[in-house]
Amino acid sequence: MSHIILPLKVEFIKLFRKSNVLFLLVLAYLYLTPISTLLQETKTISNALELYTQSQISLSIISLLVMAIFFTNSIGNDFVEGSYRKLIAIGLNKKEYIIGKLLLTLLFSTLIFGMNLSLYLILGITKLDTSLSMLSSHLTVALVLNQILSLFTAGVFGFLFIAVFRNRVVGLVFFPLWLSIEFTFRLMEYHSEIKILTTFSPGNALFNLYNTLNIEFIPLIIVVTTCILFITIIYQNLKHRDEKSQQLQ
Amino acid sequence: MFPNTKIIYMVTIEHVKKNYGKASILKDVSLHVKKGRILCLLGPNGSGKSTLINCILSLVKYGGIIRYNNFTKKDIGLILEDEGFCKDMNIYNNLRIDSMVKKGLISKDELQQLIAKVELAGQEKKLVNKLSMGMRKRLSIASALINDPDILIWDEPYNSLDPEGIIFLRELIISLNKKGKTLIISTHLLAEVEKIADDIALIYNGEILSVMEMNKIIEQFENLENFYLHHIKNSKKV
Repeated sequence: MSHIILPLKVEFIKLFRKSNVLFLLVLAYLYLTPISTLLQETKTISNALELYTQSQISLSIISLLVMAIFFTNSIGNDFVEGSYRKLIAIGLNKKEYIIGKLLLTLLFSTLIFGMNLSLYLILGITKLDTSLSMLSSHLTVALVLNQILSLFTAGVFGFLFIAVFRNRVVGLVFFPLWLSIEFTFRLMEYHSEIKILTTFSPGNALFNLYNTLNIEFIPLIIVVTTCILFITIIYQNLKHRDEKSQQLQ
Repeated sequence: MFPNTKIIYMVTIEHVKKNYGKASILKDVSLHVKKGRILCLLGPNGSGKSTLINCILSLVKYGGIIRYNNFTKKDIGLILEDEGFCKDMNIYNNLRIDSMVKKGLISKDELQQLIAKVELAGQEKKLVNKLSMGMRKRLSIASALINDPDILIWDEPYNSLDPEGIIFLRELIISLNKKGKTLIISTHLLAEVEKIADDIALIYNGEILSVMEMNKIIEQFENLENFYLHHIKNSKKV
């Protein structure tokens, strides 16, 4: 049990470091645009399902981006300043380090899901004058799991970039670049009946799963496979790589 | 002096090799670190001192064998050349993390005592990136003293210390050694080494040129500088 609690405690202390807090404030600011779009849309929305769909459209991309960018930045700090190397040197094992990061990613995914859900409920109650039970009738267990899994995998995406490149800037540039490339797949296949790239590319699968209300196997399998593959690459990368000091690199 | 006294080795290094790409950084290094002694790893920049410490700490993959005598990495009091603190976190939280990893969280009072021991009392809430280089080194020392370790491995501990800091560190090293602690110190400050070391291991080009007790060096070479230059020059000739 200490293999789980110890790294989580360490991550929890590091979570409130100054750069993370500042970064979260910036990301909260980025959230304002989709929220204001959503507020505009509520003027023409008449029922809870429509509001829910609109809130998904407005918040899904920014939520996935926030997860990936936050973890790229936060884990990037560990490698840039050498705190990862030091923790390994004083006895934290690499598995514990990965477990700590994954648990934090899971907590963060749940937090963002909770924030998005609260926003939907608050707007539903205040703008549509709808009851809480009516609003929550669209929420299924599958939806909750789909969204948390998508957000978690986006965070793992960020971790992957840092574990492989050991460079925060590359990570911060590469994730949006990757997503924009995958977004062009979506545009290319927009009018096509066969949507192979839109269905099977990992970034699109994340987006598809996030916006799925029920259990849909194809995006679920792609996202789960991607997530397992990424965690394996992260583990292998950390396990087999020399942790040289910055002077030796 | 005491021929029947059994020597205990805290760290045993046997035939350790390390390559980075085609470059051979350590070539068949063997070394025994005796309990309760101060072993200084001497050598010019790039000779392989830090790489050897990286191998001892299993931070890099290596060939050969390194054995610890009845302790784990968590029991080592460690100072790394690049300190590895979270720079935008305060002194107190950095030490909290280190203590958690090493033994489970130690009490606030114990942490305060450590901070006071390295003369950083009153600065607990200061962010690491606001500290001078010397203060950061003191923080590294505080971290290394968590858990009152029996073995301490310090890579370039004198870097960035002012004369007052160097004297402080020298006195600390001597007092730790008097308590029976074993220290492995990598440095190239000959004058300091002469004042603190029991044993010297001279590394050059990834090879151990000589391992000798300090008093024998003085007997044979008069001072450490002569010993150092003698071996380095001979090695260059070869």
